[in-house]
Amino acid sequence: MCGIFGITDNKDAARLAYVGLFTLQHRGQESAGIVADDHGALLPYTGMGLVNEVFDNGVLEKLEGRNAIGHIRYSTTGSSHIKNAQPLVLNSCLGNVAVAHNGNITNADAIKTKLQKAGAIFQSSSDSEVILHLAARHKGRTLEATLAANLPKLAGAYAFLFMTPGKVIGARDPYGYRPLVLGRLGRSYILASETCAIEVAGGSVLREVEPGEMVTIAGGKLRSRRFAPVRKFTRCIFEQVYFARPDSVVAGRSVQTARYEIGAMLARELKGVKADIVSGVPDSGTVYAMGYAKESGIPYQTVFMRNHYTGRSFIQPDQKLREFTAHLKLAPIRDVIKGKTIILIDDSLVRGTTSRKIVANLKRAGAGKIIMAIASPAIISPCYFGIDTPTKGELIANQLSLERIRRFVGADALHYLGLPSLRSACGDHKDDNFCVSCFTGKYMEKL
Amino acid sequence: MNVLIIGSGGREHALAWKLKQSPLLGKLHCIPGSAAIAALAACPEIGQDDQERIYGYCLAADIGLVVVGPEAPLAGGLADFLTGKGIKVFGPSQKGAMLEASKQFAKDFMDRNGIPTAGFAVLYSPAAARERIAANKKYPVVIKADGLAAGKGVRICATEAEALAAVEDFMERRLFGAAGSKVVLEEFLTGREASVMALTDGESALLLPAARDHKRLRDGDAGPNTGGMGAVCPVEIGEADLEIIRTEVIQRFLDGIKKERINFRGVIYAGLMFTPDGPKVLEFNVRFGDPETQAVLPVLKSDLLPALAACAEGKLAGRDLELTGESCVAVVAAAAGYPENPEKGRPITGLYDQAPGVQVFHAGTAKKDGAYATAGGRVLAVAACGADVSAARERAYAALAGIKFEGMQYRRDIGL
Repeated sequence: MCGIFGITDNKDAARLAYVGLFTLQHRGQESAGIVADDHGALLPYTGMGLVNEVFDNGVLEKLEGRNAIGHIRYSTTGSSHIKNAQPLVLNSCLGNVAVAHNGNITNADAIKTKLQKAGAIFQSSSDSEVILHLAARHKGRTLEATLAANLPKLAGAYAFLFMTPGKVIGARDPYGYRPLVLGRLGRSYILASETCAIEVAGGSVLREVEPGEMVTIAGGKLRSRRFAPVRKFTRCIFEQVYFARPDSVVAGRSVQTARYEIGAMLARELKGVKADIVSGVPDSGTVYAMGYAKESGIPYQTVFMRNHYTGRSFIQPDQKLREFTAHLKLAPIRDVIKGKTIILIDDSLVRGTTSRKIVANLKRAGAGKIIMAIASPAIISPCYFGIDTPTKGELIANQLSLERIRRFVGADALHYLGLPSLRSACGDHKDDNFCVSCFTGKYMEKL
Repeated sequence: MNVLIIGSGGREHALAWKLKQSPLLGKLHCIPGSAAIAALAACPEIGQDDQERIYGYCLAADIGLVVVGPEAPLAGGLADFLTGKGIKVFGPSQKGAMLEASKQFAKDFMDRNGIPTAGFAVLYSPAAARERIAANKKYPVVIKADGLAAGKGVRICATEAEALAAVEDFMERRLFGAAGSKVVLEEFLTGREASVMALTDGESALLLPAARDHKRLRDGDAGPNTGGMGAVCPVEIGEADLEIIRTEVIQRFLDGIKKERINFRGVIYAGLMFTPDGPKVLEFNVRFGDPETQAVLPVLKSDLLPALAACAEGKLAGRDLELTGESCVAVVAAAAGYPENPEKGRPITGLYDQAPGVQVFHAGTAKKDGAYATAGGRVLAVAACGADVSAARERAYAALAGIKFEGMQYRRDIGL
């Protein structure tokens, strides 16, 4: 997962991009970067780490220009290295082009091989660079035309921001897997991964960029064109479950509302289960637990103090590092836990290693019975569309039965939310609004 | 003890009502349950076929006993799955459920174990079936599709042509899919029907009072077959016949399952025909009958929970059941259009404040804006107890007269 943010026609473009990226920090902590359009020179500044580690006043002052795009990265494809930090800038016969990408291009390798045989030299190992090379090779007159002709060649998931001198372009894949929203701030347009970034930057949300739609902002004007036929949304439902910030609006309802409702759904699925308290694994588990508490009447209680300064364990790419940080960041509140039957809610159970540590942590603190409730169905199949659930072998639900997962995790009972409940809580009534491939193993396209 | 009932119909509502009276009951749960059952039990939103999540729920809610109502989860192996993980289940294993799910298996089982039943032949191909029909001299003859066919897999054929048509429908046109991969050709028996249910732990059995249900839609046993339009309990059975049922049906069933290593802890239901040659088994079911259960449980004085738990634990021996000595008549009220195309969503009035000894068991109802409405073919059953059948019958119909919904149909001759 990654976050992208772009803004046009604003004298503080780079600073606002910084604010936007800072707001989207939950979407990735590996690297951050901003490119500003300084009178036609596209000046990139990228660095490893958090947004406020990469940028300071001095850096932002140097990023002059009225248009800017930015990116925060969480590695899905390509290794963890500064070379893969985005936005990427390429000099081509079309002039300078910068790109920021959220998603995963599933046929990137095939395209890359073809381009390399034709003489292209790639700067990065990420999948995002291929679109720049494709665009550079096309003989269309404008960047929009070349993109419109080449985007359909890409398979997989993407929300792109492109920038050339005087122009910012946003494009979303034909299924709309990855989010991209459009906003307005005075005379400026904003394109961002989530609505929260637009609002925190002081703007107001206009609408979502549609699947297969490309929007161009040039000379203060917005134009829209389609590069793929109109399709229904196939939004990634994991945005609601895990990634998106609770104050963002997805599919017409805030993520907070959706998660609260999911928590209530869990309570309905576990109606009749007695417990002393219900709690969530911080931070995202908390709102589910509150929804559960409201529906069931079982009181909500905080069982962990979270240290906020260690980064999200799910996002760091190395398993060893992940285990260490899971141990470090949650401190149990003993007198709340001791002897209690606890319904503990987490957003998802991917590898099971984090849940195992958390349950052990609670048991060591004297917890009685632990009923683990997962706010999503079992993840049985990898995501090829940008979420870091890499191989079937690492997905515990693909490898073990529910009972063996329960034993591995160490909980006294384990329950997964049903898919119909998840769909309805997320606002889906026609069964076709969301991508749920990771729960079903069925994909929209042949991979 | 916390108990989880699986199912959502009238039978499960009656089980919930009965179990709820037990002083041994902790919390009652039902998956998936219904609006009416939700007044007695917690009904988590989990599907009855979702074995893994049912198991997860058992752990979460400390379930001490699972009572499985319908046959489908049993045929799907729910009891095996849960008992394998240490959960106590009232309900037979998947192999035991074959006694209901395959007529061939049931008939061969009866044959192997000397259980009195109609003469039969199992036929595995259309050619073999035609050959056997050509040699058949006695009509009518009964042709049954092997598998579950929603009550439509049995034909009473008056002529050879009808028998051949049944074979074609079941085996070649596959009207009921794989259920027609084989057929059973059976001797046509005449006499009065009744059913006997027995609780069993696989070692011993405890007979429940006999009951009689009424399958046809309309009075005088006219109209199409249904799931059952009413039931009466108890039904008088002569001492000689009862002895045969005890020794040749139930005891031989127990001997058979032991010999064949069939794990059966639940209820065995024998549908019986009382012929001039004595009672014969028409069919076995592996669960409580519906609507018989709605008429049987009200005349049971004993606590049902320890009996069911004893079955699940294999400790039934030496237990007894006490009856109230009364009779019960249960009359089913069905929706307009039942059985083909039942209307749904009609508001129901007059459900509350029933006289003592009268219970309304909901089968196909749902709550709409806080009030009950029809939601299925068989909507509800009114079960009333009385000193004898006619007293029970009178009370049942008096109660039914106060319950109304548009298009309501019921038989007037239950218990006559």
